[in-house]
Amino acid sequence: MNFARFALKNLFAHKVRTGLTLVSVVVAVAVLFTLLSFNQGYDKSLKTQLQGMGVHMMVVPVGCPYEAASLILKGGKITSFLPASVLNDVAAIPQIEIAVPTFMNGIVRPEEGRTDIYLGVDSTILKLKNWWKLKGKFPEQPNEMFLGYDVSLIEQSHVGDQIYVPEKDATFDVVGELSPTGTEDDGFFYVPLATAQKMFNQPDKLTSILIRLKNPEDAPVVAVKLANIKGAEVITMGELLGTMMNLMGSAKALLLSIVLIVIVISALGVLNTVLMSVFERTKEIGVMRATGAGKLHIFCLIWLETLILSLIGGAGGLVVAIFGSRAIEGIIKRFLPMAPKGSVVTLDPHIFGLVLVFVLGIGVVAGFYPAIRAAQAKPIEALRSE
Amino acid sequence: MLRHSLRFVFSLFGLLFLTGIALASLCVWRSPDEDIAEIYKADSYKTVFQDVTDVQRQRIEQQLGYSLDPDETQFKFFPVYKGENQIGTVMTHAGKGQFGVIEVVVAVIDTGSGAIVKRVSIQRDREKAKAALRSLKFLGQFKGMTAMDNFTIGEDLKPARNDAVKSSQAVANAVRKLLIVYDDFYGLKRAEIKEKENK
Repeated sequence: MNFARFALKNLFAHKVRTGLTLVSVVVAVAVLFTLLSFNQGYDKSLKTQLQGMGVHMMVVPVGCPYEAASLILKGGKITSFLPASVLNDVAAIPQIEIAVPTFMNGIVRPEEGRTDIYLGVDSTILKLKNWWKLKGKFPEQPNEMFLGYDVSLIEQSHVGDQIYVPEKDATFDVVGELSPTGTEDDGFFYVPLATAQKMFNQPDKLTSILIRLKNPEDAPVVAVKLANIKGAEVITMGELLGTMMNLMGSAKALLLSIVLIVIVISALGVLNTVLMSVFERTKEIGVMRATGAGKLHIFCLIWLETLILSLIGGAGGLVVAIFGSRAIEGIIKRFLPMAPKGSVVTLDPHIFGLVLVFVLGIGVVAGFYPAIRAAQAKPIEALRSE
Repeated sequence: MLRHSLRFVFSLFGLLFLTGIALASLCVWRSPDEDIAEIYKADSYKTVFQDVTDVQRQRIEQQLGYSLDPDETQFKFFPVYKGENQIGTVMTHAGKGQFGVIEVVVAVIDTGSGAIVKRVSIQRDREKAKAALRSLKFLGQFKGMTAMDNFTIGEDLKPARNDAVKSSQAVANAVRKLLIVYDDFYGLKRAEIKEKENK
């Protein structure tokens, strides 16, 4: 007896029911695969972004250091400041290779639904971010600025153009523009440090000092030294990464719960389809038993139907995920805080295999009860049934 | 049924995927509901994307006298409706001003032989002459203009302010470009239909 052919014939006898069950499995598998791939890519991307900053630690004003650090990384309005004199104390620590003073603030532009972020820096930032490709030059005069890549696109402004900041009645000559970095750096207006301090009426104040160490292993020693500086708090990138991961953990757990509910529903759909099929074929099963088919034969036949359903649904779901992962990712990103730029979904063969095993597992579990029920049917009773 | 279901799911994903790409290069319309109520006393609008073919691109560029931006491969039109009747169309454009980008909203009505300007407004800019540029005195000059008119600031139109000729011209260029594009998409198509009907 060819079990597979027989099982397929049974499934295709009810095309609509089988089709709808398959669609539910396809959707569940596609969402599960994309979410797992997204999860993996998300963590990797966040780590890469933080490591890519070239910053080992950060000195921020006393307060909530994590909030300040995340505002500095993502761009935002900082409300507390460090005295500029802190820079001298920081620079005096011998283990520190580069210390970059920054002043960040934003101007809300309600009609555009966005905030322009101005980052005041001095030329040491070019040593810290030595992978930056700056077209033009670094600002030397107070009224000069360079633009992040996204800003130059949005404002359609390039080297040689002028930018006016109406809220501050200040005109700047654009002297440089960054090539795309793929990080938040693309979204800033960069002005000289003193200009930024003056623009926002905070002379001799800083929002952070970005630090690169000569040897990253010295971080604990340097952190102790920095902690003694009055009015300053220190945060290492490792700590920041951990905090960000915790923040995202709850959102991820919620998403995963929704996907698990979808999977349970699709598993129940598979179970229902196969069970219905068993009920409808009671007499047929009775005939098979009466003509010599053993309990194991019946069990295998019904179980195989479930496995085929799961396998086809799983394969279909993976195909949908491959082609539709970008769209699904777009939807998932709306629910997750601090989503990295660009696509982070990677088509990892391990996840591919994991999802396939998982969906087959569901098939095995969902098919067990109908298969047992069919196998236990007594031939005489089954033949009598209508 | 199975084939239909699968086709539906694939189409849905395909649509979402393509929409994500298509929206990337276009200027948004920031306050559509307020604008259509104020300009047309209308209650609804639709969004229509139109891809520019190579032939159209050449034709538009020839009429403009300069090249379209490389990312202008698609234009977005917002036909405006009162009840079920289309009473006008809104278009948006982001162009380079004197001190950054200027986003212009152009509302037109279709006379049957092409579009004429009903109202021009500026939804975003960082110009020094912001108030003058947004004034009725400057923007009111565009009312009733068509793609066949001349749009040179200083000759055909007055600048918003004497020190804002560049930004005034940027607004004028945006209006002219959108009128030409509209006529090419809708005026020409209409002419082709009429020609076929006559034959």
